[in-house]
Amino acid sequence: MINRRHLLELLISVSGAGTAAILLGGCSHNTNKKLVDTSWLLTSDQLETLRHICMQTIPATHTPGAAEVNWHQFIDQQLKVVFSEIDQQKSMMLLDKIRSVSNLYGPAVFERLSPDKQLALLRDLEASKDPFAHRDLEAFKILKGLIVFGYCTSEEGATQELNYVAMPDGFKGSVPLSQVKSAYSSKAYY
Amino acid sequence: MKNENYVVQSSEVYDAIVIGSGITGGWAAKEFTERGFKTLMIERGRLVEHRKDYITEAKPPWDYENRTKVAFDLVDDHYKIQRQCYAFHDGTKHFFGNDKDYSYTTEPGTDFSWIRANQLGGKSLLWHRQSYRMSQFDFAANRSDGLGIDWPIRYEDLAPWYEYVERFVGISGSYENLPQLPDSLFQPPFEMTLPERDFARTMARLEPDKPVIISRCAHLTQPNKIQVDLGRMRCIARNECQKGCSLGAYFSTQSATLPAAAKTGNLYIAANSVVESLIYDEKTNRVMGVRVIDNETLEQREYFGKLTFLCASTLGSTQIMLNSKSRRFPTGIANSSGVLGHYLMDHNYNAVVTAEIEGYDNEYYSGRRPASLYVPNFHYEPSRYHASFKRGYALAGNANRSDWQTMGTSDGFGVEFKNKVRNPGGWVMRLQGQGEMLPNRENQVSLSATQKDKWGIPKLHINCKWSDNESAMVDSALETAGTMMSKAGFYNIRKTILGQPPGLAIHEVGTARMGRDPKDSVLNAYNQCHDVPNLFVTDGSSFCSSGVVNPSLTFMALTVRAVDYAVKEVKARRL
Repeated sequence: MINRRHLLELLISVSGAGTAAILLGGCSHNTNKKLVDTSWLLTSDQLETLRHICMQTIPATHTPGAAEVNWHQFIDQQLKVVFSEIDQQKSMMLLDKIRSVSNLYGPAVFERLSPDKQLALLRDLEASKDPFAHRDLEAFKILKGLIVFGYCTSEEGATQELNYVAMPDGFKGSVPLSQVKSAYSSKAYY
Repeated sequence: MKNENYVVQSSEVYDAIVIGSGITGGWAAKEFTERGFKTLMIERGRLVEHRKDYITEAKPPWDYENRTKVAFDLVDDHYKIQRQCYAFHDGTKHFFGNDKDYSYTTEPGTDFSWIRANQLGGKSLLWHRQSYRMSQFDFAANRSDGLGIDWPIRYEDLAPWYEYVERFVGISGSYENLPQLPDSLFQPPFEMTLPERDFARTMARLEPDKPVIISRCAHLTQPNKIQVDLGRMRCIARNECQKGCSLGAYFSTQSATLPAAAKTGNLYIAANSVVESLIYDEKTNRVMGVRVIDNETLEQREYFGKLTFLCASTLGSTQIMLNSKSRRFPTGIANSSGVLGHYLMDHNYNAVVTAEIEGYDNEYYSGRRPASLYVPNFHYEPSRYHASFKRGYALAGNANRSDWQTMGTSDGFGVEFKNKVRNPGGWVMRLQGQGEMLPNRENQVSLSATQKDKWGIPKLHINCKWSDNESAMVDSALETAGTMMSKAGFYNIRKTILGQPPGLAIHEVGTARMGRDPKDSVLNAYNQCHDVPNLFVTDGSSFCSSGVVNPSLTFMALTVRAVDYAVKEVKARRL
């Protein structure tokens, strides 16, 4: 990381304190909008199923899991705002299908299945095994991509689990991974 | 800038009018003002102030309502074309043009993606910053193989001007002494990753005509006094440049040429001024000024100047010229040759090859490098041409570790999957072809006979497509990159043709080309119109061939050379 004090001094000298504070805030835009606890697109049943899929995909460990940061609601919003109607329909149909085939894995809807049974269903889905088909997997890739994207771009995921560095001090081409511990991204946000 | 330097209404006759405020406009304004010329810079879009107006800079992803993604309806309604640009997202979209306002038409059966950045600073805020000199072979190519008119200049004519702009801009790179890619004045290069270094070493042994070097980019790695005095600082490798950079670490109008020009006190800026046409006086055969439409109120006004430099981007400048009709020039100003609008070119970036690299498990990097690997064109003269196409291509890419952005949809669940996302994945090499496009007369822009934009200006009609030559080049780039990776021992080599239309390299050039003969060119060797002596066009429209390298550095060198010439002509009273 760059020496922020040094950079701050430099920036103040050329741009004034206000701009320097904004720039060096880096992570401190910090409006950190909390998602409103309402549904954008999905029904409450679909949301509940999605919440459990999130928990199975990225569970709580030493860092927060899905239940703690409501990633499923992030996905609901992304589907509604960012995705096409076709992708929205695919995703909703898949969630409904997961609910409807849950009884093949146990005597309950998905969210009430035991974690092992939920996982068995999701593994079959990811392998396109009966009762799932390849088109179900395609729809699941949308949801899974969103789970990971939502997690990795959340403040908790980016800063506690991953190593988000807003202000790297230049580029070093060779660093032992053991020093870095976890990755963020070699790429910027595009 | 002082407020009095922002102009709306003015009856002043400026020494020079510069239309456009991007890379070339910024340079023209800087050079004129530093030579004592009272200069009016006209920009069709809004003002963007350095630092203050970089509204998304350093904003972390979780503070975006849609985590940097742009709402589907907004894209669908306003940004269908702009979204195709790699740099378009919620943190940069305010620097892109709105497709609805900036609409154009294309010939049936063709497609062209015109990326727009209409605000003060233009595309200098959004560019990819890769900066190369064209070589002696590029300037001689048309004459050597006959596939276009000869450039009226040679590398030697431009070399001192390249050096001039490089000292000011700041280019990071490595000295290589390659005939097809002349060295610039460099600041220290960005580092390669270890697999990249090994790849470069292996290629030096097995494919010596394809040196693998670090790319050259307009980022400060060791700022000189000129740059420090402008408030510019060393690049800290955020690689979020298109949001704007308060450090001024990459070259833009805002970070460099504009403050330099403003310092002289000779710069005036008319923003929100959409140039409708040039005011031409047939008696004196001079451009007297410009007619503009106010971007917001749609009111018309005029500005006057002794010299006019068109720096409005290749297609922007050509549109203005085509729309500047008079009795003498019924098809557009300075178009006695009839070539205005013809010979549109871009670069073909459609060939992409990826492969996986074994090992380097404990190897990583830090920071986000704004540079890449670069393999210069190795088909750079006719004796080196490939049997199936003319001219050549470069390869650019990188080797880095896959990450959550690339592994997000991979298989797995639970703690194991969470760890997979957390940790860097395997190393992946990516190389992309950057192919030259031949100058074809059929690739042309004209004015729509029936459709006008919101400012009442005829829309541009674009008729442009890849030729068989460019397609053959794509096939070759796939083959070459695949072979290089195979020889390096990489595996799971995947070749992809992107299928993108022209325009998306955002290297559009041609359409008002230079030349020796007024019968087949619009501009002379100094970017001055053959037909109208006080009108210069110094952006990419002046190119006779596209070459292979990213063109912006050449735009800059041509511009400063043209200004130097124009000033001398004025002082000698020939202009």
